[in-house]
Amino acid sequence: MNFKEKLINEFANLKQNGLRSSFGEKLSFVKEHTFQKFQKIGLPTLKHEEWKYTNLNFLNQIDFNLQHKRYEKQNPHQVNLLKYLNGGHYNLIRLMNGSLISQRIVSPSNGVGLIHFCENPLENFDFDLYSLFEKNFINDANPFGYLNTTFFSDGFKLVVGNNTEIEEPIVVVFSYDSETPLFTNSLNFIEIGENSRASIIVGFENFSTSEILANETINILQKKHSQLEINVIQNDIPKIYLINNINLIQHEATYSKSNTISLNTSFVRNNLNVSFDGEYSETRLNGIYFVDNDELVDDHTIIQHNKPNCLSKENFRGILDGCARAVFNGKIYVARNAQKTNAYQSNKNILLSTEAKINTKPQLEIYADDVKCSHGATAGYLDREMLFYIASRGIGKEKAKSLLLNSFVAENIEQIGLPELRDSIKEEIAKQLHLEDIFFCSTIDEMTKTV
Amino acid sequence: MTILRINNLHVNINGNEILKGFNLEINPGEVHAIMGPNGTGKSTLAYVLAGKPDYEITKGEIGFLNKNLIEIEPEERARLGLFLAFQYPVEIPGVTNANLMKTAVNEVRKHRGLEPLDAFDFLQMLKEKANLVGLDSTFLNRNVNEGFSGGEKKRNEIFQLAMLDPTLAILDETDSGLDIDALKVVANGVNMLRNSERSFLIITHYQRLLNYIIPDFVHVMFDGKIVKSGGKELAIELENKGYDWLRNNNNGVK
Repeated sequence: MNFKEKLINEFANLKQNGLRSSFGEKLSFVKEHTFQKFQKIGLPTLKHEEWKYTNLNFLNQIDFNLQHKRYEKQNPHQVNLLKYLNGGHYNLIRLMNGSLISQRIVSPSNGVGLIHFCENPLENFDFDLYSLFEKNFINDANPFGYLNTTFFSDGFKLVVGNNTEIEEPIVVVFSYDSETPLFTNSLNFIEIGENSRASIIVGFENFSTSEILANETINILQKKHSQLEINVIQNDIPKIYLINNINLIQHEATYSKSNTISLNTSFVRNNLNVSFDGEYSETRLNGIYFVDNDELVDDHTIIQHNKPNCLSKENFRGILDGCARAVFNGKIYVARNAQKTNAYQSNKNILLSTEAKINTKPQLEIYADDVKCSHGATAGYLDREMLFYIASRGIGKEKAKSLLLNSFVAENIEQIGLPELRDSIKEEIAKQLHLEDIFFCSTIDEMTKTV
Repeated sequence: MTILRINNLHVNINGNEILKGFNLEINPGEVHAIMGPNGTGKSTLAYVLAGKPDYEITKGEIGFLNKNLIEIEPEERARLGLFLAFQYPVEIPGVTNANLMKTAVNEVRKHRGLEPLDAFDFLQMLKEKANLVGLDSTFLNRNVNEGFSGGEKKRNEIFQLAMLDPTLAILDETDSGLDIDALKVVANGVNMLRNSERSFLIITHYQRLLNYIIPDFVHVMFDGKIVKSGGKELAIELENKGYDWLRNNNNGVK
């Protein structure tokens, strides 16, 4: 039985075992509807434009099954991601195999509220909110979006109230722990109130002895005048086939910045989508991917300029070694009425081996006429003249290479606003490049501080 | 001990022979100048000594401190005490001068069996050496050569020379593109670094640098080899008579 047939069976079972009684009339209808759409389009193949360079053959080779029981181990593993954070000063929401297992909100309760879907599935689903995202982002371009809606059985909705600035980051950790191949889906929502400010860290951790296919969604709504930073950290997650869907809707005069960092991953597809539904808003999408061996990172971004006077700036940088592959696809859509749009996109890559491969593609769809858009993509090897110059100062080849690579991604690391997280990511990257203390002291002032 | 001994060196690049039987010997503390017209192989010599890939040595030997330099990697040559001040210093975006120097100094120290410098000692050294060529500390925070003026780039090369404390410093056309004030600063920096242990090989097209850095020996290079050697007065003779004098002379020899 191939994966699609397996899913059809799963859904038939789900219906038989009381889809309606578990999820209620309305949500069952939505699930049936999206599954129909999935059945029509099927799983993506290389013929599918948005999946052209990302081979999903493993879906039929590994015996992935949906999780039916809740995760019940008493003492799940510690969250590694927390080593990045300042002791105690964070909110933590933790999911395990697609279900929420723990929550810890330290920000004042009048500012932050959390709803756990599973506690009352019939009541806790926000249809209006879901519809907003469905309209913008759930379509044939990403069949995993359909699967996510169809098969999610848990998730959370976190609300940051109006006029609230929360100092402590909201940490969302997707953990996996399974002895058999597992397919997990969770559907989550975050709402940032008017005039509010927050930062989110999304992390992934795998404790499984088996392969995991994780299809996680976070839908984020930013109400007017709000500010948000999102850091997606994908570090050291072998054995996960990850489809990470982050959809962001920005109302009027909002600001968002996201940093998507992928290091030591096996298979990652990031679908990062932003939709401007109000004027005078701004988003910055930064990313770093560092792939080696036979790893794959596929970053697909879509920025929808639906309203005038918005700005988007996108800057993704990649380092590729071994026979690793990376895909960058940056789509910018500018609607007919979205005049005075500014959209800039840049994707730069350094290849460290002749076997490594990058497929990079800007995709501009512009229907307005008063628009400033630019895009650029580069791929190349390290500059030989630079390497020789550094070597001539007594610095060995490996270190010379590391210095150059480090400088290549440094600008993007600096975009991480949370200092502890930024330093930890610096450290992680320096570690991968076998650079020690030199990384932290690049100016006289920084060096003076260490005296 | 002889610092550098080059014997009958032949070098090709892309199948063209550039150095055609080059000989030179440099002893401790000596300052040698190599002059010659453009395209005669002066910069090739500098690059070959520093170990730049792409050059094919077809014949001859290079001994540096009694070691066979040809078999040694560029970084290893630098650690042994060979330094090249580039004619066209490379810009390295994202790597600060201070960072490059900290890494370099500690790599060289490691090779010499010394502990890495601690931040305090390193900063002291940095400021002292920067002072030598009149660079201030903001300059050290900037990325290596990025957006530097021609003069700044050359001063930076001499600053790096001072930091790395080499046994043999090769200056490849360090005077090119410098106005007279910058030239004096650079020459002054070099003169401060002269001592009985350190040797210099100064490659230049013009004699004017040699008014400020007085060489012990002057060699005239033509068509891939040295055709005439003498004392500092040879540079003046060459300046007065021009390279044509040499060409005619050389043709005569042939």
